[in-house]
Amino acid sequence: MIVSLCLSEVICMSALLDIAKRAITRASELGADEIEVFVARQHRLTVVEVLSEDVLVSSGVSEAIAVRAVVGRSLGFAAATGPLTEDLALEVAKRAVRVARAKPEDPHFKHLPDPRRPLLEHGPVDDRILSLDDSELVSRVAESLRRAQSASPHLERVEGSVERLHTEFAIANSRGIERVDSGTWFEGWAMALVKRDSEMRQALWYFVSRRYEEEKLLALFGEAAKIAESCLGAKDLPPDVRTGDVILESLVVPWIFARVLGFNLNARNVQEGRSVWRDKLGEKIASEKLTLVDDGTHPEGPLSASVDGEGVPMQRKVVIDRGVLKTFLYDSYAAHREGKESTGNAVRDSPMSEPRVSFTNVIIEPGSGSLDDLVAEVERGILIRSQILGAHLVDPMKGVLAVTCPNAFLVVNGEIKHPLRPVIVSLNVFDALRSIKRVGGDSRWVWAWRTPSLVVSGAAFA
Amino acid sequence: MSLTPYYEVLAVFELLEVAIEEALKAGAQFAIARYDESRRTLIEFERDRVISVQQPSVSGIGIVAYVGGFKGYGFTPELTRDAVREAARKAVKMARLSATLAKQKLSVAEYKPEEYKGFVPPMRRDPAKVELSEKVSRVRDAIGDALARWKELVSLRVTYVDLRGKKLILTSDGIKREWEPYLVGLAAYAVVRVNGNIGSSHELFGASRGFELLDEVKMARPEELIDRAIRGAKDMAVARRLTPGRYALVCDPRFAGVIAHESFGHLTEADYVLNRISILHGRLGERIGSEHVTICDSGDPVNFGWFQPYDDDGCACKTAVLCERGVLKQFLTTRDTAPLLGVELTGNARAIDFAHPPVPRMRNTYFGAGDFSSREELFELIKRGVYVEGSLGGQVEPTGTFTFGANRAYWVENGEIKHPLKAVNVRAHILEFLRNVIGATRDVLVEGPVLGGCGKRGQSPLPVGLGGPYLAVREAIVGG
Repeated sequence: MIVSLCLSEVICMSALLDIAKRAITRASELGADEIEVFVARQHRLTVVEVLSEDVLVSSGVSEAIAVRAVVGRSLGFAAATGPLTEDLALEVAKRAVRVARAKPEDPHFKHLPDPRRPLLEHGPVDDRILSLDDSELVSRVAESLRRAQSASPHLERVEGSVERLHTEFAIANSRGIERVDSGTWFEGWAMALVKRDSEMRQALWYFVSRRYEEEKLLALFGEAAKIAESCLGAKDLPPDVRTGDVILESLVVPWIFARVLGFNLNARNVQEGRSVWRDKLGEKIASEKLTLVDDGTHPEGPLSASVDGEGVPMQRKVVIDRGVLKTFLYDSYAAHREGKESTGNAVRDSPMSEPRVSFTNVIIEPGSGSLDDLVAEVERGILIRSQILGAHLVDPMKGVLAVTCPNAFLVVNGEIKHPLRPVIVSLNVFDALRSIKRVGGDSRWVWAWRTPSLVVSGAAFA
Repeated sequence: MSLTPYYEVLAVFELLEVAIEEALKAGAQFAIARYDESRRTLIEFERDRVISVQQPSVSGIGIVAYVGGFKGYGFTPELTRDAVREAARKAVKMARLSATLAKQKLSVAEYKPEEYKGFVPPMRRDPAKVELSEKVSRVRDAIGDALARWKELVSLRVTYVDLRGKKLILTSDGIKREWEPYLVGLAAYAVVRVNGNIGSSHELFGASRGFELLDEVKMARPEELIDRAIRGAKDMAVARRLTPGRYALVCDPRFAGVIAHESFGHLTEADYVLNRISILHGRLGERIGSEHVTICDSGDPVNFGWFQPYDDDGCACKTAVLCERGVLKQFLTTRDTAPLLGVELTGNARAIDFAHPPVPRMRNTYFGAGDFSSREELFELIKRGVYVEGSLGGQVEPTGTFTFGANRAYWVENGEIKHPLKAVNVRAHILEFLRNVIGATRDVLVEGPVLGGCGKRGQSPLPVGLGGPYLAVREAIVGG
């Protein structure tokens, strides 16, 4: 249920914009040639943290002001948490000017972005998330915990967190950008640990939504418990299975690909000669089964909003079309350097961070079939579910990845034979992109990725 | 924007009082209100070019309310009476919600206020008062030297970090605290090419000290630190591959510290012990390591660690001797976990900022001193094996098995370093590792954080210190 913003909210949000605008009118007295002010208020409406028998519920507000100031060809950034006042905005702006002065001039910097009309009026806001009664939420968490108990007779303990969140922000710059926006989120993660005799197995489950989706919450702890339970009775990898197909459950797909894709598609890295794909535009870099879209306007997208982190309209762009590289991702800095328009890919990791080039929502176009269907088609290989460890250690220019998979299963002749003790899977991410042989139809949101499960060939196991 | 001046401190304490009153009025039996402020400076250099300067500041008030043995947390960035009253009411409401779900009833320990008695590290030049331009030029000069001297350099990244903070704490049973955290640190990452071979290495040093750290402490001087990173990278460029297997090990203080913190310290945190997440649950008094193993956690920075005189509940931070000559002695507790475990209160409640509730966390975690006089004596003790320096991080499994990558590693034979080794990982079960410790040096080095810190229960990075002496281990699985 996505609703439009109520009047009181619009008033409250315009107060945020006023703070930003008033600070901008004083840019020249601060010594800035251009200035951008980002103001955000984040309502962590309810955070339920579960640690086995222990539960801690929190609620509160954080506020932040972040300023980018331009002095000559130098861009300075500063940020502070609230209270949100014009005074604080001015203090932060002064710091941003000092930072700009301390940095060397950047000959490639042109100017802050100009205003453009957004495609989306505002990000998804769900009235149910805003109005949900805390005790109702807590009772659903309790039900979800009960489901975990019945899902696994060997459940030792669970850990996890469920949160409903509402963020409002305003962004304005001295070139005329003025925008307020708002959004809601509902998110949860769970870790379940099961124990049978001396064998301990652990699994992770996760969901994120822009709406209140009760079923996802009710399933949360049980799904983690089910996967952990299915990993009991693990055996060593048979010595004759050292290479083969890897079935990647949707939950682990972003961990394998996000860093390498994000780095090499970043136009700034292309311009600096760091991207492996710097001269590959229009060429095949992946299997024709892969179509990857970056879409900041997706109605369910965790990062969907009217504008990106520097006030440029969010857009939809096909990045990889049936294996062919179509575009890189631009913020205004990288776009101006090539005389282009930004693709709306300046993302702030948090209200306190400087915008950087990144994906917005990544959508891998689904194929067909469930995870079971993918398993049924694999002659010999392994299925990786739930979580992988060590993916962050990948060198994005080399793509060599060795991940520990605590929730892996041996697949022979289309059937799951048995769970495996933690397996180390080695693959090259660039090769894996080219060897995607099957794309499932079971798409789901894993943070800002909407991805189905995939089958990739040519990995090595140990 | 200066750190909270004196007259504002009084005003903030008044707000904390308002929060406490409101929480009690709303039905709390006990409440803790905390003002938490921090300002950081982060300057990143790529070669001698500044590529990023960040100066985030965070401040606000958080309230923990206890209702009938359950707790809730409320927070606000607004320093007004209305805002803190609302946050206090929220904390009470959240405590009532926790009560409907939690099975574990907390009780708050009686506490007679004590003062911190440890080492207060000097801060002669307050980093908040040093101009940004001086910070930039101090580091850039050292980078310029290095670029001129080392022709093998392919890439050099240097990061300067400092932190200043303010903590004001008030509890409903009358504890009142005011103290200031501080830290200065430097990190360098070098990539070199030697005869066509690429090698990389990082080096870092941080301490609760003033800006003078960069001039007065040899290990922290930018010139020395960058040199160490480059020399390390040159070693790694000519490193040889090690056949994976079981080897004797000597760890430097930082690698030992990472094990003390990641693989052992977390197992002693009261919430993990109470919820049976830790394998050390119910094992106080048991022998878990060799007689050469003593592990402490303390708010006292020892020498270059993190200064933490009081925890976020307002309790004085005591030195907890977790393991004494191989015997498990203590857990890391907070006011609401010590009574449940029936053990001493150590003062380990910590939160990353006002928007997060305090939970049991470490401060400075380190192996205690042994009786060997030098690293070389330990090399002789192990005869042949692997020497590891620093860590690239790793993972700990719930069973207690850990894997950590070494920043640098060397082959040791006949009491001396023979040659560098490529990408070494150390894997062992923590208790097996502790049983296999066969010696430690007399000098202990504890270091503060630079980039990152500890992560737990969604709160990261929390500044912590870690360290130890050089440590000799009979055997561990060492892989490439």
